[in-house]
Amino acid sequence: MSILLLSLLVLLVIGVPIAYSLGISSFLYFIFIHPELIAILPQRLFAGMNSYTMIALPLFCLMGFLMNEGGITRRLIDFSLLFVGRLRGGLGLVNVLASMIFGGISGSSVSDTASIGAVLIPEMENKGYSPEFASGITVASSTMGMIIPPSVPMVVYALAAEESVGKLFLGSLFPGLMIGILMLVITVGISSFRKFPREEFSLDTKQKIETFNRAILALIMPLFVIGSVVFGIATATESAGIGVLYAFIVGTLVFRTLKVKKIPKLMKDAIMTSANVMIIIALSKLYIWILAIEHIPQQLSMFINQLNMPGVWIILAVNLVILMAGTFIDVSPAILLLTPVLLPIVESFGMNPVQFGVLLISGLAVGLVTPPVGMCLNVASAISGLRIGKIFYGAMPFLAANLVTLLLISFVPQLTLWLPELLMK
Amino acid sequence: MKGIVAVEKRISFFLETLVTVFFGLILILTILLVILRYIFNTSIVGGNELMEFLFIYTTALGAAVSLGKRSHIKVTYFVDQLPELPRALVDTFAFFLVLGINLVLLRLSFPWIAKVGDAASPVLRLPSWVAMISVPVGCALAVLYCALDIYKIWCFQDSGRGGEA
Repeated sequence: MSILLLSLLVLLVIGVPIAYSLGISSFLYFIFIHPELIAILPQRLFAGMNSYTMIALPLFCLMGFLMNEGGITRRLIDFSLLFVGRLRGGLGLVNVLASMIFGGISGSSVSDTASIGAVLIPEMENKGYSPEFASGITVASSTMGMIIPPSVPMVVYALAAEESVGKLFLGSLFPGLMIGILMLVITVGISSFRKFPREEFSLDTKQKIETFNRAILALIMPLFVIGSVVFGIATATESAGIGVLYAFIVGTLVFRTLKVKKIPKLMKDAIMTSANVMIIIALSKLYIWILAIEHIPQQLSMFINQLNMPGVWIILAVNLVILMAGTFIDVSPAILLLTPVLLPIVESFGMNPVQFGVLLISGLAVGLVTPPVGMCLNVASAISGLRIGKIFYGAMPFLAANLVTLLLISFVPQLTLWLPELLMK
Repeated sequence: MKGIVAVEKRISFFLETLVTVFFGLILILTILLVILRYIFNTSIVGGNELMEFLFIYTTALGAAVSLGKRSHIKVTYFVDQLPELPRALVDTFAFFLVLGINLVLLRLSFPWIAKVGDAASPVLRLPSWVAMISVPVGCALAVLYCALDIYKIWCFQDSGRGGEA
């Protein structure tokens, strides 16, 4: 047990790729504890790579890439401007609202920061918003990207916890929207206090309808993808495949902004991203298998139960572990490492696996915008030229929305379970 | 030295193209299977199995290429704090470890395939080794890329950082 955990920690610290850290730790365990089982290594690796469900992973990535390349960002910003642009701090509100919608299309916080940030950070700075505020609100609102369905991390969690993708998509809908609404409220408050400008524009009804029409085809895509999974019309993999077809048709034939010659590069990026995550999944399954044969999750769960601590404290401690892990480890490996260890603990305190999945991903999303390692911070820093510390300072007020929602997810199960129970009995 | 880098680039380009083609096939099959099921009430026999086989190859080959591109997800924060020489030493050690585990997997995969590789797959009735062989192929390529990475660190002072976790 100590070989397994200590070697993994050392390997991670010295910068060995997470996938191979898991493989090497497992190998050391076999060498020292069960040398007779060592022949099982390649078989477990192969079994870990062999997953029909996970074919959804590159397909969801490609769907987001195609929509993004098809010029969806400007359309969503114009659409959001229509609703909240005239309020004080209009561009800040547009930033949050566009992220809420973009999250449902891309499923990725990093691409949300890159796409929306590239347009709105310079525009907000030109209109008199401080650079810290412009970058901070962009990274903070991008955390919704991986919470609002469809979401790639939800598919990874579904595999790790053997849960229904559809239930997770539905379970994460309200918490994702709640973060967005709280961020809108915070933006209104800050904008009133700091006297941020309103957007001045006048559109006649025809122009408004045109702006709406320009965005509507992108807006219905998440409904289409989630609906097909939830109502059992298609598997997650199939719905992602159809989502790709939809994004391709809309981008090339309707928007006419997606260049066909760019598609091979987008496909390559999607499948290479998937390969990097899949090799972690494959080797983490080996690691998790060892944890299971050593009964580590059960022992940990029993130990915690014997402490006789109130469940509230345990759940709060789990929240803290998730937030801490998110600051150092990327989302997918964190899901794969934390799920087998933490899920049995929270289940023993009555938490549903769907509720825990939403909690885990919402907590890890915060890690993307917290130093020292935050992918969204790095992207925003590249766009704005600000140091990541300053961007984080700008994001802090908005992260209150994430933390409040995290606590609500932890202690109000209905927030995550009501919709799946209503639609997917 | 430049010759070795050029060869590596060609191998990576070939493998990335192959992986992208496999992904294209997976995508076409996914869409085709849905259309056939809902519009024509039929299916492609073994379609899902073929998709799984192709997906396994994309992972095995893609993970190896990622070593060459240093795009694997890892925690870089601590190593980044080190001065140049200790960092190069730690990077080299890390690549040796990755090379080592891939050699172990390569070595162990042959008896495994010899033992169970003849078993036919459930639908296509293809011998299992057709998919299983992706493991030693991927590991052999990973060994090659690790060796090249170590070579580049010491010959080009190329201590490029990988994907951040």
